[in-house]
Formats: sequence, structure tokens, C-alpha cells
Amino acid sequence: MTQPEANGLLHECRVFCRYLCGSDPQPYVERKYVEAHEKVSGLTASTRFDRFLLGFVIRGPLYTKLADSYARFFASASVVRKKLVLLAAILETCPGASRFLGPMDSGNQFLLLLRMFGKGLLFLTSLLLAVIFLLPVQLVLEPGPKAQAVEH
Amino acid sequence: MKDPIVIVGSGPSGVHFALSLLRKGYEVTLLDVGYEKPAPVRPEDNFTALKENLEDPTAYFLGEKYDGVLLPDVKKEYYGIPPSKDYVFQTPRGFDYRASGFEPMISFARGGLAEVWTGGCYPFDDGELEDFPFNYSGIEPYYNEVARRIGITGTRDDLTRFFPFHEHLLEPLELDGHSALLLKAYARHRDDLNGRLHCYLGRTRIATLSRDLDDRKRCTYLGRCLWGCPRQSLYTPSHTLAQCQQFPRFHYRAGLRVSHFRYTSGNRITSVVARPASGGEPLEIPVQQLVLAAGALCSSKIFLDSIYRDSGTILELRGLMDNRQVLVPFINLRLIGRAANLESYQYHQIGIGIDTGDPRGYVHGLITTLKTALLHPILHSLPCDLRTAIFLVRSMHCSLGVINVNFNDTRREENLLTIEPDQESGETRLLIHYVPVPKQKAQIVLALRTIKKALWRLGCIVPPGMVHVRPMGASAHYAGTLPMSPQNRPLTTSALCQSHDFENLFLADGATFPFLPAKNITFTLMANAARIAESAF
Repeated sequence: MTQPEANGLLHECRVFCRYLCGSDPQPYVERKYVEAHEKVSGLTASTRFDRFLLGFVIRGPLYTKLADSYARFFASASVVRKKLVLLAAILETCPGASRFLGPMDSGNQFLLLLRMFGKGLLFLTSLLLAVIFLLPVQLVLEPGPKAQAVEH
Repeated sequence: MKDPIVIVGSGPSGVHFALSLLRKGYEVTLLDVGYEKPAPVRPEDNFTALKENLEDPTAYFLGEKYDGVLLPDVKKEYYGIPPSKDYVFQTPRGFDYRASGFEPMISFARGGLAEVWTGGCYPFDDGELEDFPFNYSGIEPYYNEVARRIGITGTRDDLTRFFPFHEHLLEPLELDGHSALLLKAYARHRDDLNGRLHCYLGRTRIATLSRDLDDRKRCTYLGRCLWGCPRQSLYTPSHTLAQCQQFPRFHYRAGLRVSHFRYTSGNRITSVVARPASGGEPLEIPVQQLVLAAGALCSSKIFLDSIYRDSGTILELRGLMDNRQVLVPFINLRLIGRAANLESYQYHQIGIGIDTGDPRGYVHGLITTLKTALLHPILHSLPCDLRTAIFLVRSMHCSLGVINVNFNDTRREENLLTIEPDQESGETRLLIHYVPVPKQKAQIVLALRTIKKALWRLGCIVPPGMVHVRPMGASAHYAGTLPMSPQNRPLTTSALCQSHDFENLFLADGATFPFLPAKNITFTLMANAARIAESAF
């Protein structure tokens, strides 16, 4: 792996980490994320839409959320989605993982339900926006039979 | 002078067979590939401390090659078996199989597939033993003996109607909070669940120690069960193998894969041919009495290979069985938003039994309240983005659970094992063919309906679309290919599991079971092996 490639992965890792847990990654997580790309196959963008999506998400966590919401339903095997899942796996096994994915006591159940409702609404909004922006792009970049990529 | 006995395979059957024989004064040689488990890491750390204290925790939990990561496009069945247990599924050179309708798990590890079991010990009752040439009282002394050897926790409760109550049960482990809450809810709705749904809840029987036994230590609730108990509280056959190794008359020959046996024209076995697992010239080992205990699939392959290599005949062994398993995830509504205690026993502590009215049709569910399993496979399966999924899983971690529902199986002609020669290598390939019972879908639908209703009364819901029917082969409870039979017919065994085809051959594993109830068979495998060793030798 060349230095520019490694730097690209580090940048990706930071953006994804801010998206997933709202903070920058520890050096250990960055190291493991880069290492995983040397050992796990299928993490290289192979289609034009994959390449577009990768360029789109590294702009920031908000873009990542849009792309992730979209990919969950319309490109679940996309490289972006795989990279995010890989990072989630690393984060849940690293020191301090409980802060990221440990069980939490939410106290009042009514407030928790309200928060769940809010999060759900936010997700639906991001999904709607993502479909408006990303579906035409996917149809253009992956025309014809590749409309199969619109999986659902 | 007693004839020396050669046993093939160190799984639950092989080691208990060997231990019984050694105690009777026999000389025993056990042939095994015997891949070894790595030493436990930081045995005193609990699950949370392990992540903090290991130098490279990600390598431990996900593997050096990140094989433990389940990416969204992977279609294969996910078992959540950790990298530290990779040795269990390592395959030696020259072993190959092809399967249709079946996804087998095959192990050549020291201790066999039971090195990754979850410790469920459920004796068969008289109804389930109807096709066996003995009833419960015929095997009860051996259930008692095995329970004394391995340490099983359990108690008398509503599930006792399905699992006969045998001796040497240890006091149950401390219940985790979620399981305790479910049992409390059951106590409130017991009459309704028993009367209308014929559904019963209670403590499972598990081979995990609630007090020290021999050199094994009692469970201290480190929460590391899924990752390999560092205190050896959860029994695995490699413990019994270690006990066998203390006998001077026991010879453990690891690194050898037995491919076939040789026999005279009078069908008396004279030797076994074993190939070094790492490659090299085969060895021929003389035998007086041979015991195949390599698991139903591998023992059957050795049997088929032996006949093929002697006569060129390729036989089919019919009647392969396995339990269908269905995973039913659920959310306990009362626990949403509560903090989960990760330092608790992780496998099933309670079970659910459905009485179908048929003595052989019992449906068995193991209730696991997930705490320390990897969560990223759940995250990416939820119908939302990952950030939202993380919030949901954190909020609901304490309330998550899964029921592993087991269904029985019967011997049917269409499910068979055979072999296919490979002219180039001179080896043979095991062929497995399985077709599910036609009426099974209806059986599953009915059982799931009952379970969902029962869960609802217990304050739980099953999220839509999340029930998962596992492929056949997933339970690893393989049986039925060379069954015990009262008639002296080819390709069967006597009541003492002595082959009707070869006079000095015994089969000590699941191959001889004529019926497969909806229960983990490992306890019965061990008890039956002890029964044969005690009665036939």
C-alpha cells in the first residue's frame, strides 16, 4: 500500500468514525482500519457508482449518513457499506468499545421512545434526500441490467 | 489378557468410550487428527477487561485476517464462532466432501465438534427411545455416570416433564437478569401457557460447573463463554481426553486421519490405514477390535471407503438425520433502555418446551439472552443506517434475546451418504444428500405461532422478518446412517452398536441412532458410548 493510499484510508476512517460515534478514532483504530484493507478482500471500488459513492462520503459525516441510508436499501453490497461495517466491527472490539457500543441505561423509557422516534424521523428524512440525489446518479452510472443494483 | 482396542476420534463418544474401557483395565489406542486449541488468554479477565487489557484486542475478537467480520454481502450461514476456535474446523489434507441440501460442520479437532457446543445435556425419554433397542432405564445408569464425570447443572421444574431427572445434577448457575425476568413472567402466566399453548419454561441442563470438579473451576461469570471459557467451567471432550491420558495403558496418536480399515474374506477387520494429517505416506495399524467414534459423517465415510477399497463397491448409507433449527430473535419490552450486565453466563440458561401431543414430537427451544456476541452483524441487518442502528442496539442491548428452536428428524431413505472416487488423488470424496421432511414447513409454522404467542405473554415481541430458518446441517446433530436394529441386517448394528457387517467393529457415535429427537444429542452420545463400553467389553 502506498503512502497516499494509506493517507486516504486514514481520512476515510476519521470521517466514518465521526459519523458512527461522533468522535475521532484512536490511533489503534486507525491502524487496524488500514491493516484490514490489506487483509480483507472486496474493499476496493469496482464500479463507477462505488467510486462516486466513496468520493461522496469522504466529504463529511453528513454525506456519509446520506450515502449509508441510501446504501442500506439500494446498494447494500457497496464498498461504502462494507467499509462502514468493517469499521463498526473494529470499534466494537477496541479498547474503550463500551463508550461506542456498550449497553446504555437510558433511564426514563418515555424519553427514550421520544428519542427513538426522533432518530427514526431523521433517518427517514436522510433516506428521502439520499434517494432524490443518489438514485439518479446510480441509474446513470450503472445503467441497463445494473438497475438490478436497485435491489429492493 | 484383554485385547487392545483401537478407537477412531476424540469427540464426546470416543473419549467416554475410552475412559470406560480404561477403567475396566483395557489397553486403548486412540487415533485422531487432533488439532489443538490455543491456550486461553488472560484467564482472569472478564469480557470487558479483555478488550482493555489485550495488546491487540481486535485481532483476538475478529482474527488476524479479520475473518470474524461479517460483511453485508456475505451469504454463508453465520455461526459467530470466534477466531480462537478456528482450529475446530481446520481440515486435514485429502479430506473433501460435496453436499446438496445440507451444510455440514466437520471437525478434526481434539474433542471434535463438541469443542464449540453450548453444553446442553438433555436425556432422551421413553417416547424418544421407542425406536432404540433399549428404553430409558437401559441408559439411565450411563446418563448418571456421564453427569458425574462432566458436571451438569439443572433443577426439577416444568421442563422435567421433557427431560428425565437423573442423578448427579449440580445446583444451577446464577441466572442473568433477563432470564430471571422471563421466568418471573412465566410464573405469572403459567396456567395460561401450559393450558392453552402447551408451552413450558424452565432451567436448561448445561455442562457448566457451579462448583469445582476435579481440576476444572466453577463458573465465575466472566462473560467469556462465547469466546472460550478460560476456566474450563464449560465441559468439552478434551477434558476427558486429558483424563484418559493419565492412564499408562492409554496411547493417544494425534496427527493421523484414518481413511479406511482392511478386513479378511470373513469380514474380520485386521488393520486401519491412517494418513498423516500434514501429508506423507499412510501407516497401517493392526487392530483386534475397532471402534469408530469419528462422528456420524466421518465414521460413515471410513466405513464406505473400506468397502470400496476392498471390493470396488460404492454403497449408500441411508437415513441421515439432523435437527432443523430456527432462530427466533425477540425483544423484551420491559428491558428496553436498561443497562445490560455483561458479566453473566452467556449461553442458554432457560429453555422452552412445546408438548405437541406426540411423544416423539417434542419441540425444544433454547433461550439465549445475547450480551457479549459481536453486534456488527445485527447492526447491518437492521432496516436503517448504521448510526441509527447503533443507537437502537445500545438502547435495546439488554432486551435482546434469541430462541434456538429445534425440531426432530426421522430416518428417511432419500437422505444418504455415499462416496465419489477421485481418480487423480486416489482419495474419495464424501457425498451428502438431504431433502427435508415435506410436512416440516407446517410444523415450523405451528411451533413459531405458539412461541410468538408465548413470548407476547412474557412481555416480548418478535421483530417482523427476523426469524431465520437455518440450513440443514447447522445443528451438527448428525445421526442415523448405520442404525441399531433388532434384526441382523447389513448396514446396521446390534443393540450394543456392534456392526452386523464386521464382527470386530463397533460404532460409538450418532451413526447408530435410529431416531433423532429435538434435543442436543451430545449427552446421549456420551452415555451411549459408556453403555457400549461397559456392556460389550
